[in-house]
Amino acid sequence: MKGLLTLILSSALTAPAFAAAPNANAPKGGNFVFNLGGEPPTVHPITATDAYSRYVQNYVCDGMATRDSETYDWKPRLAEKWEISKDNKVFTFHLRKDAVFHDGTPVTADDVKFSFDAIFEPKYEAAHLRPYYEGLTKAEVIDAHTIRFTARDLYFNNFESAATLTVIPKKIYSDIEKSKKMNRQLVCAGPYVLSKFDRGQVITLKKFDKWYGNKDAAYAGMYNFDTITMRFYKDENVELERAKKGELDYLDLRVEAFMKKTEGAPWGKTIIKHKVENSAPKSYGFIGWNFRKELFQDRSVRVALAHLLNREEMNKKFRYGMSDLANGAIYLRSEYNPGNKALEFNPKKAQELLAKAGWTDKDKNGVLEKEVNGKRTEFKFTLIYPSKDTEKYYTMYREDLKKAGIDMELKYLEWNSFLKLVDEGNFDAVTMAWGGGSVDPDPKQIWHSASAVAGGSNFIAYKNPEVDKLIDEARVEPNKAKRVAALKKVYAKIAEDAPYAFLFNDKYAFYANSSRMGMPAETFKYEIGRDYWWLKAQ
Amino acid sequence: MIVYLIRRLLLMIPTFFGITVVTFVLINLAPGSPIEQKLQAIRFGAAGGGGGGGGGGGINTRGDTSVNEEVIEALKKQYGFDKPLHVRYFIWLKNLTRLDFGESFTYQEPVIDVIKSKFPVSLQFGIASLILTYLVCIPLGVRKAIKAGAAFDRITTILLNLTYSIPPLVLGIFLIVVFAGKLNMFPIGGIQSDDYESLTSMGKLWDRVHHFVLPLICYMIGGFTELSVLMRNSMLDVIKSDFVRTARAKGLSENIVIFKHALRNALIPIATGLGGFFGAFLAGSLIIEQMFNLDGIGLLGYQSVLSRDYNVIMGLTFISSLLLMFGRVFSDIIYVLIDPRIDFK
Repeated sequence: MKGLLTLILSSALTAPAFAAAPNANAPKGGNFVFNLGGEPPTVHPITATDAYSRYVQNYVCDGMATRDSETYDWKPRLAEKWEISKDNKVFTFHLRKDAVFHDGTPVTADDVKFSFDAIFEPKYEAAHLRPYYEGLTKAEVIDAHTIRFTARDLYFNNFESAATLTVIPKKIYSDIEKSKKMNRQLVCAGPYVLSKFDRGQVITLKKFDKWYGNKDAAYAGMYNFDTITMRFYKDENVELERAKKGELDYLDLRVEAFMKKTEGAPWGKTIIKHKVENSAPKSYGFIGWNFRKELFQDRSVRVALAHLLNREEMNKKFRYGMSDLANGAIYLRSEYNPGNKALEFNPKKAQELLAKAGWTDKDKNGVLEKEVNGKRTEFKFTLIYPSKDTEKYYTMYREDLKKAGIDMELKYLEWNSFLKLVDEGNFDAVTMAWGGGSVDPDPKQIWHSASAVAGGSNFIAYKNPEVDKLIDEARVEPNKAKRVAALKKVYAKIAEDAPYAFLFNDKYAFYANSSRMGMPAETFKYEIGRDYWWLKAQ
Repeated sequence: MIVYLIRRLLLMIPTFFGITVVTFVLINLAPGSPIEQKLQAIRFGAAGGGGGGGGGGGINTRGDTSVNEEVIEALKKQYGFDKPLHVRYFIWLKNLTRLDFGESFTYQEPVIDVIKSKFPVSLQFGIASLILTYLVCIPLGVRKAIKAGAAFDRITTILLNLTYSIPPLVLGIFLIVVFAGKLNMFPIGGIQSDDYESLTSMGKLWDRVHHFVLPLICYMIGGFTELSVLMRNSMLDVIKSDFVRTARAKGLSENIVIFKHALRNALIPIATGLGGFFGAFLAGSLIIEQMFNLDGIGLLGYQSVLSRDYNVIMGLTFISSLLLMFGRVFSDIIYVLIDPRIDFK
């Protein structure tokens, strides 16, 4: 019976709670206006690094394949089909013959090869892109519409690197001097053309009438707007006022804005708020303990510190109870999550663990102490953080630590100064947040001991040979089910080691849209799904 | 005077070196070079530091991104950081003689083009607020001085103090929410409407003015009080002086006494500020520009410091220090023009 229950529960976790489908008969036309949140310094496909430019490129540029918003399966884009060799190291893509770039020239295997090679050509100044593609050794043109990538090793994400490579026209971007000046122009093969980029004002996209997908049933109900206008408002108040005036059709909301700043008309009338749950991985915040410091090398101490973090109260006070308490280094609803219990606020248990580790307040001065290397040491450390917004959380934490006899000092640092200390490993405890990452995660960057180098993401220097071994095995495992099993073990072990005190996972995505919008569903499984929206007839 | 001016101009040379060397060294010593910015972009995606559990740096989704030495070396070469600090400074100086400020690391465009693209916005607001401030503050200050102690003086003093103590940020939000939002009298931000190009010349002018009102109020609010009070006090001092009393005693009309004899003398301290006229060319305010979505110098300067865009920072430092130094000399010249008794030797 217990086995059955587990089975039902796990299938409930993995089966989609909803299945949204695009509306194939969605009306076409209209102008969709939304706030990008900031201005991309450049939209150049090779040199741009920021998130804003990526947003623009998502509409304007195409790769060979993309993920389905509902199933997360690979869907053809510029490639109509592909083959993966048995040893999982060679990927052959067959390009569609009706794909053209925005200048009208056809997309060929030559362009794909050029797009790949340009990343490794020093003149293009794309050193920052190289780490993403280093798993691939070469791209070979087989014929005008066939391209073959060879991978260096068996890494499971190699296919993704090749499939999502932004394809740009060789004819235009091969002239380096000309290409260098194209910071506000973008020539690709995507469904929209970048028609205007006014610094400080606006980016306008226009539907590309020669896009191959316009006539293909596979894209019916997608990209319904004639034009898309992107604004660059940074200030939340301005954004909300603009939306109230009807000047925005979509805006992301923070939980505070959702709960506090959007009450009364016109909210709910001309502008509709949404609180949606989907399976897209959400970020988590953490307090990381520096393993280089003697103080944090004892697991009992780390677990005790996690037990002193009153997340329930913080969630209630500062997050309107809208967050989940993270149970480890992977999104709570991810199929990779081992389902272990999150560490609860429990000062009594913490006290026991600390006592077990030898920390007691013998001199009754209110601070715990212990003999370390023959020297009496008090339990004191400093927490560094780069964002003032989060100070309230740690002030609360400091009070609870104080009651338990631990003296924590808070130290705010400007981002670059903060990062310098983090990179050098020169800190006691650190707080930050990791983004949700991929649906199919690779923990190597953060948790492998090989990443515990200067400038590496394993800046707390967490080292567990067993975790290393499992990660190494999982990375070369092409079978997803086996990879899930291996990584579940990894995440379970990490949670057990408590290298971070994990904070929260966002449970919902909050957004608002104008009542002009038509949508097949409030959300898709792995994204909001704005590519399927349309403008209602007025 | 000529000798003095030449001396002042010559003194500008070491001052210029002082400013640029200190800025160059400081920004280079601050943690986080453009290379580290790029490495961060690799490690954390594009977002900056977050915390709590909300936003924050998103890790890239493509797995292993350990950055090898070769990539770091390539980045160093790309940005010219393979050379020592003093060599880089001299390269910067050498390029400056050709008016080449280098390339912005963020925008990947020549610095001069980036500054040129942001300059018109700040210039328009700078000049408009300068002219308007003087136009309002001089008569206001004079009237306050004439009516010193009377109800008008006291009420305006209270009002001026009130406006002075409102932070531009709060005022901006208030103006946006009330006048642009609730009352819908003004646009929320930007410098022109989307259909600007299709408007008639008058329509364009009106559209600009319409967009200018709210941010301009924010720009002016601080300087407004300072200048009015300065004008009032200066005028009061002059009114009390012997020559004004003599003029009155001669039986001249009050208007002639005030506007012909007193005003000219009372303007002397105000004139000092006119050197700041040059500053109007680069008048940019981070807060106001961000709030009203104005793409100006203030925001550029701030973002360049945050993203350690050394070349843009140096470009802005160079231009603003030059303007500031010329502004000082200009003030001195005005001094002499207004008050022939002053002679710099």
